[in-house]
Amino acid sequence: MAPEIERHLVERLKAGDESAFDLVYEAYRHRLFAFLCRLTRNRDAAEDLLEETWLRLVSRIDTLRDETRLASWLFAVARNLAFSHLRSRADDFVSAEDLNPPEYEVDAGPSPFDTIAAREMDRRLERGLAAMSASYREVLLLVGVHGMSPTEAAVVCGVTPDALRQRLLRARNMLARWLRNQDFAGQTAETPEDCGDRRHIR
Amino acid sequence: MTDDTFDDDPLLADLSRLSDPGADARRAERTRARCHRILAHRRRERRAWLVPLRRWTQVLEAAFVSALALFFLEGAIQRALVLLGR
Repeated sequence: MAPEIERHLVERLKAGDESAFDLVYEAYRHRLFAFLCRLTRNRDAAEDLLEETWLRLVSRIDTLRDETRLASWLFAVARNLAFSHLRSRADDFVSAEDLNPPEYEVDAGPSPFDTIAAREMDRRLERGLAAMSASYREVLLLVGVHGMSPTEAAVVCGVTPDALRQRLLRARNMLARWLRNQDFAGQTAETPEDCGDRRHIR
Repeated sequence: MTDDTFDDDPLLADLSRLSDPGADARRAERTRARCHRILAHRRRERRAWLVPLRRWTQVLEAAFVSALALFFLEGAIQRALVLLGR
């Protein structure tokens, strides 16, 4: 969404315009839910946190400054809520299967083999993401899945762009190594971090 | 390392093709309705604050116009008296 359009929408939201809210809601609700779902690895929690994110938008809209980008603001709120939720949970592991990934949408084009291969790749990526620690997972989600630039993702995570890029590189290499290990029977690591240097973040 | 470093990364490209899990449609509608109610409340509060403000603006506007009119009227009377030689 272009910055001028966002600014106009924020002005309308501040005036209590429901149609402006609907535009923002439709633009971001699916992406935010997917982000929260993968970050928390729990659909019910993601639903709750998504609702809380939207309620914060409408109740704190006056605190938004003109230069604030809506996407960054919404993802940052969702991210902070998700981390609070993860910190409050003792049993922070749910398998990727619990996410019930949606049926893969298939064009008429690809062959059945391509479809199965793509679905298999998706499943492996989801499992790899789900097995990572939340700090590494979030950067892959923001940049890889949601197409943010590392600089935009740094705003969401509250770190410097350099720190974000380093974390992204580390997370990306861990996931790549984990996927490679999955290809060889008997060399399966429990988590992508077992394939890389485990460093504690936050 | 810059933002462009990751532009052509095949693994990140694979991640970008992951399909989104669908949210519960009924819950989404409930959330939308809740947010609409909060926005409607905000609008009403805003209006409630604007009504007296608008009334005061009208009063001040009328007072200002009257003061200007009196000022010009006084000027006109003085000029007329000068012209009549009094």
